Amino acid sequence: MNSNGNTTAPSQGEFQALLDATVDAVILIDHTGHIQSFNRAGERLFGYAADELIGKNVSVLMTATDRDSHDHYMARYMKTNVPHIIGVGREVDARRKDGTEFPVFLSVGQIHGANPPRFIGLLHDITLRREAMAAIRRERDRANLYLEIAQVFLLALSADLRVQLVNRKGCETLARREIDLLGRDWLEVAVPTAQHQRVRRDIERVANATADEDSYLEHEVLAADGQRRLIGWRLMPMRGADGRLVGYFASGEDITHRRAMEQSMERTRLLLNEAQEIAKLGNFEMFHGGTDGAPAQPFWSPEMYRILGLEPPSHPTQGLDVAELLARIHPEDRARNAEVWRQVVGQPGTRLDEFRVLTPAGELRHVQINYTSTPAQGGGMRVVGTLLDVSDARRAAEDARVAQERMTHVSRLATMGEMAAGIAHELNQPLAAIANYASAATRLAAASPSAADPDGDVPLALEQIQRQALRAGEIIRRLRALVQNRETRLEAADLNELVREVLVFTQSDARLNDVQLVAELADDLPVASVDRIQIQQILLNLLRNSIEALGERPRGQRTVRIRTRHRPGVALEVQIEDNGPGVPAELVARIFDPFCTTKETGTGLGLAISRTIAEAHQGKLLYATAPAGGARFTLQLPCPTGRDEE
Amino acid sequence: MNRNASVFIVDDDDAVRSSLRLLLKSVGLPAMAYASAADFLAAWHPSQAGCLVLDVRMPGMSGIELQHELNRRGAIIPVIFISGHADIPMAVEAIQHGAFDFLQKPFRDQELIDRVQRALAADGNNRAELAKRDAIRERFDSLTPREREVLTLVTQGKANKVMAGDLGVSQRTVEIHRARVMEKMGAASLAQLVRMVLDLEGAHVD
Repeated sequence: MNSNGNTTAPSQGEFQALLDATVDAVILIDHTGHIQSFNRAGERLFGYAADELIGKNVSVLMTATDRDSHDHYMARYMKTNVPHIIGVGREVDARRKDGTEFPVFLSVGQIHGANPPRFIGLLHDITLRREAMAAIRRERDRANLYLEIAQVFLLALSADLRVQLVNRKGCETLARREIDLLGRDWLEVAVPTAQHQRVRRDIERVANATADEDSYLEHEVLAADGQRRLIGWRLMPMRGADGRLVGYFASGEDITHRRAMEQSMERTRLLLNEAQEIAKLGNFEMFHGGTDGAPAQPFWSPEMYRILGLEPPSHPTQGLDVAELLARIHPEDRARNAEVWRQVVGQPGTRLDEFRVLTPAGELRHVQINYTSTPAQGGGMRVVGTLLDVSDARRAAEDARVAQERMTHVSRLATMGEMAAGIAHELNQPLAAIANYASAATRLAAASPSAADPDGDVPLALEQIQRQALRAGEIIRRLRALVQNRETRLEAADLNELVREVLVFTQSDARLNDVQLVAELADDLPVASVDRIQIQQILLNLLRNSIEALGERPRGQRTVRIRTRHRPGVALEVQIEDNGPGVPAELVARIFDPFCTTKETGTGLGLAISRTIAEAHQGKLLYATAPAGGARFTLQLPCPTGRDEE
Repeated sequence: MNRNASVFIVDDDDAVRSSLRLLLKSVGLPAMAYASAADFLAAWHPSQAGCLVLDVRMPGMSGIELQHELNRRGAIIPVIFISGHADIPMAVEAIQHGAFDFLQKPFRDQELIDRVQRALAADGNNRAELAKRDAIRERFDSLTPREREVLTLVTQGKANKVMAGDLGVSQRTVEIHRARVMEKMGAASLAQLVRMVLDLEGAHVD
């Protein structure tokens, strides 16, 4: 090759200059792989001088893994003429003189016309490109990682709602693998059939929405394992450059738990409101003073408003200031209430007040308020408390007080009656004796006048004794008549019913004393003719005696039996029997005597009265020791048909 | 009044019992006092004349129960109840069962004394009536069967001649029987004899 300008083929020198100007390494090898030529760029790239390599097998420039296979590869090509690299190129690793390795892009060409064939290789250092690629890959991996570890359900759908992308959270939620989701119809694969139509409509709405706030929708997803989760979605339509809808990107949050909590809280709130309405008890939180930060919003429960006759606001947490409360208070109670409020906000603690409320409708209500004040965080005072409508309780208490007074009066009368009955008998005995003695003495004195009594004063005095004794007897009779507020009034009654009513009275007393009441009521009782109240007075008295007597027995072993029985032609009986100690033998003969009692606080009149009542009914009250050793009282009443008892 | 008649007092109250006895003694009425119905029943005999002053309410057997027991035994002793209670139903019941009277303690001495004396008089009358009836019965029992037939016919007002026909005996025999009947019965007249027969029949009716 000459260097003349008009020659078409480059000279050897020109060719060498071309090779040396190339930034890639250019290597010429023969068919056995021995290097024939090596350019400057090659020397720079590999750290070898061309002279060191000429005649050497090209494999010295290869990594250990490629080295062994190269000869083999060339031999095969020579034999089969099927190229694998030639005209294709590939990325391989190369080895420098100092042993370091680096990536290159290798292009190989065959020099035609040469026999045996020769090959030319171009090696482009791709170290930088590969580093850039690795950096890009890392970025991509990191993005993927973010996608994967995001605790939200990420989803990309095509315009026809096929799944384009789903992250790990999404797969977990649906209990499906990514590959089982990709390309599938989103509604078919994840949404319960019943919600398809609605979801489709919602997605359409979002696609056409102009404002951001319209991008929210929620629906359930159905996992492969049958579980349903409620997901709240932010859906973003994606559009191509031409504005055409190409798909959607959605991020979803599992709100199943949150929704359940919200519903539970709402239920709790409603129940609390209902409870407050039933109890007529409102509660509040108010603040006084405090300059740091924004003043906290007061809270009044809806019942607060109702008690004060105000319309509860639609927003549940909205409260009014104490001024509004004061405005509702009855004018006469306002000054005191304001004073209490001053104390409440002046010093932490709990304070109670009662006042009247005048509702806008003109109704007067009695309320109790409880304020508990504690220092607030931002200074000032936080006051919480309750407002209780006690109007009903007030009325009930008033009714109860009246009833109580009536009861007290009645029981006072009854006690006086008991006393009078007992006193009458007990006093009439000695009074009778006094009168008798006095009149006997009068006669005896008259029969033998005494010299010591010349004026006859003794008979007069004796006569006065008798007269005064009789007068005392008369006073007692009048007293008895006075307190005996009613006569025995007989009416038809079912003894069993009377017993059951008394048991109702006694039940709490029995429970308190751990006494078991056992009723054994005959079902063949004829109707009795009795004074219901008086008979019940007897039964009540006997039951109370039994219950008291059982105090000596261990708890759990205290029993009172009450029986009714019809003994045809003999009597109607009510028997009350306990398993207590019974009446002491020395007292049995006297238990029906007035003022005979075994109880420290007893009047000793109960049984006396009871027997009087029984006798007023032409009946009897009897005592016997029960077979088991306790006390057994039997009230015998005449059989209703005829007076043929006994 | 029978000199052997006494007032029986049954009251569980010692003072009432003793004062009653003293009161009765002061007017010359002998009295026996008992603290309980049982004590009284143990000491008392139905043949004893007198009356009973009885407390209504007592431990053990009550006054009312004692009255029932006496009725059961066919006793005729009059009973005056005394009570420290103004128990109207009880008083009514006692009277219904034949009580002589009912007094409320304390009582005016004369009230009791009057009642006791009336009761004793009643008892005396009762006993005299019974004694008389017993005497007639005794005389009646001494008659022969034929004399009883004659007595029956006489008191029916039949003439001797009719009776002789009825009995199939002579008129003379009838006259002898009739004289024997009048003698044995101690009757002074036919009217007295008829009265005795009525008394006897009355006793049977009782």
